[in-house]
Amino acid sequence: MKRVLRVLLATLAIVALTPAVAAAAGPAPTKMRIAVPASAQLGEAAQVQAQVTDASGKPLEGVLVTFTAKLGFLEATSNVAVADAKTDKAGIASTQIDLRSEGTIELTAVYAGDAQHAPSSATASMDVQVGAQLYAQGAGVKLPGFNQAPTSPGSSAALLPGLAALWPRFSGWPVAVVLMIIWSVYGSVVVTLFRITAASRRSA
Amino acid sequence: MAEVAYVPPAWRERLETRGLAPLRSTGARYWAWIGFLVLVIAWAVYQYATQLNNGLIVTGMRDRISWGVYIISFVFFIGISHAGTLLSAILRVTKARWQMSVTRMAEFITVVALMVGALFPLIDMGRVDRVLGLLQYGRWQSPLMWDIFAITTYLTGSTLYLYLPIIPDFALARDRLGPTAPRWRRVFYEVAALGWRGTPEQRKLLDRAMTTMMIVIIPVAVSVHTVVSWIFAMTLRVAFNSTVFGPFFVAGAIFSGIAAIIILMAVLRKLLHLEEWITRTQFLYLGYMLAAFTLIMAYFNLQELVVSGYKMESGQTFHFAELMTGPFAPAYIYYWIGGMVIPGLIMLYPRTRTIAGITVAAVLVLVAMWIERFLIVVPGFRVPLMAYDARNYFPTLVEWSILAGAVALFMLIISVFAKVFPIISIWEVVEHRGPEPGAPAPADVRRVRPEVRPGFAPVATAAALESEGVRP
Repeated sequence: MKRVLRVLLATLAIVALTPAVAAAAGPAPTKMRIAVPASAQLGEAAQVQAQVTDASGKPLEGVLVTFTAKLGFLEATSNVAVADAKTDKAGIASTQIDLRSEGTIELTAVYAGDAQHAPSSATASMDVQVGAQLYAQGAGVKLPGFNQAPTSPGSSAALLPGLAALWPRFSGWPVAVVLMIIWSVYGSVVVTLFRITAASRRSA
Repeated sequence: MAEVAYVPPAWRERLETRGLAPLRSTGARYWAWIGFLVLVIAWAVYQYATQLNNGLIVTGMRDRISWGVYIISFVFFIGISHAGTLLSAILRVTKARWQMSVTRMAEFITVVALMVGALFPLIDMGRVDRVLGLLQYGRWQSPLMWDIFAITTYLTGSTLYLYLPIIPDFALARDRLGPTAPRWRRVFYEVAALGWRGTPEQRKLLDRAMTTMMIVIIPVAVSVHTVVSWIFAMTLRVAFNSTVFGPFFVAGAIFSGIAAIIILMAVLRKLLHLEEWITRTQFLYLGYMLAAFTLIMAYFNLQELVVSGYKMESGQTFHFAELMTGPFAPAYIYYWIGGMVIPGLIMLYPRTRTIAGITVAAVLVLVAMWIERFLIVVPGFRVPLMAYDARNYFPTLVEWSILAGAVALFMLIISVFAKVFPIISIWEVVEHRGPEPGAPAPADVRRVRPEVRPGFAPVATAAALESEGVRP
């Protein structure tokens, strides 16, 4: 009977101590996977996804994933947070990242973990290629003929191919119109001077 | 029919004689003065040759402060050019009679200041042989290009506007100088007078041309200094981040322009003995305008200080500290005290509101306005754009010499003009202003409406009066 009692107490003790031992061992490990496009165009928004699962591969829903990019300025380099998103039922966090610099971009998805789950991260690289000018020249105010590159589609050079052949850089026609009006007035005054001379001959 | 003043023939004769006197004879002192100016200009040309030979390294400008005395003086001269044409046009449009005897001087200042001021960007270029590249490769989107066209347009318009009212005076010089005048003078006045006889048709044509030009030239003048201000305001510098630079520069230009007119009036009045026609009235009215602009300038400055100081971005903190407590503080204090407070006080008190007092105020203002342009350019460029120490700028001997040469060139052209063109618009003074109050004319016949607008013959006005039964 004593033997049975000892076994029972030992079993109870094991059952009672297991969670504490498990807690002392730390949160359960998690896994992170990241998916980025192999290449993208500068100035575009790249779709980036990351999946968080536990060790058995079960998705973790509703946890925050932060996406960082390795960026440099002068001689300093650091991982800069560029976006964050929460995971869905499949454990997938999705976001879009604006690509502002060319070259190979190193993106990292980071799960910070919690009391039950250990942190995890994954890194992937993406090749950002230069396909178009990144920033628009206009500041919001659009004046015809201004804030345009000399050969841009909206310029007067494109509208008037003949003129473009004569003067490829001509896109400031509003300035030219104002100048033509003023100089036409000057011209009319000069003509008046000739008329004054002619009036003198008539009176003589 | 325009209202004209009664003009006693003797008064008119004196005006014509005195107005044409500089064209008749030239003394030794004049040639000595011209010789001195030529020497200063020659020295400046030598220094400029040094700069051409060695490059802009001989100046105090470097990569961090790349604008200096040349751009400061460019803005200054373009500023004083506003004096003439703009003021003259505004006063003509508003039919202000008192200004008739000083319009010619004002218009001279415009043309000459533009000619001299336009040289500075070329000097600042360093490689002046590449100037055509500006036109060949320049972009219409650049304020620098707008500036080239604005200044060219203004200079052409101002020259036309200067020439139109001189035509009757050229005719007077043609008719009155006589055969003793040098041949080149007779030929010049004959050609320049365009056969002016003062016929009604010619008068009508001249009136129309002058009216057209005086209306067109006002917006052109305003646009020129606005575009000059955009060269600064459209540059990414903390100190230039302002939306009021356009009107601020236009106000500053008129302010310095009025001061320049007053100084030139005082000098020519004394040298050419024009006391009877340039009286305290002209000084007083221009002095009042100067006083009004001290308040306008103070308002613009306060507006800049309060708005920028309220936000106080990091670069602005540095800029304000430099101006108010740093190396530029003495100049900044002078700008406020000498440029605005003292001239305002001079005009406030009747005892100092004399010709001498107003001239002193004008000199203080003119100096302050050059300093103001210095304070816009140099402290503006000293604000570091990145983490580097602020650089210093001080003009070298080359820059000071070229500035002195430009001032001498300005005076030389004015001096030559005064010997070739009648410095007073004689026909306008006769027709629109008449003698000062107190001159020997009965009060009841001072203003009359003749049937026929008088021609330019000296007896025409008297004849018109006599035909109406009025005798002076």
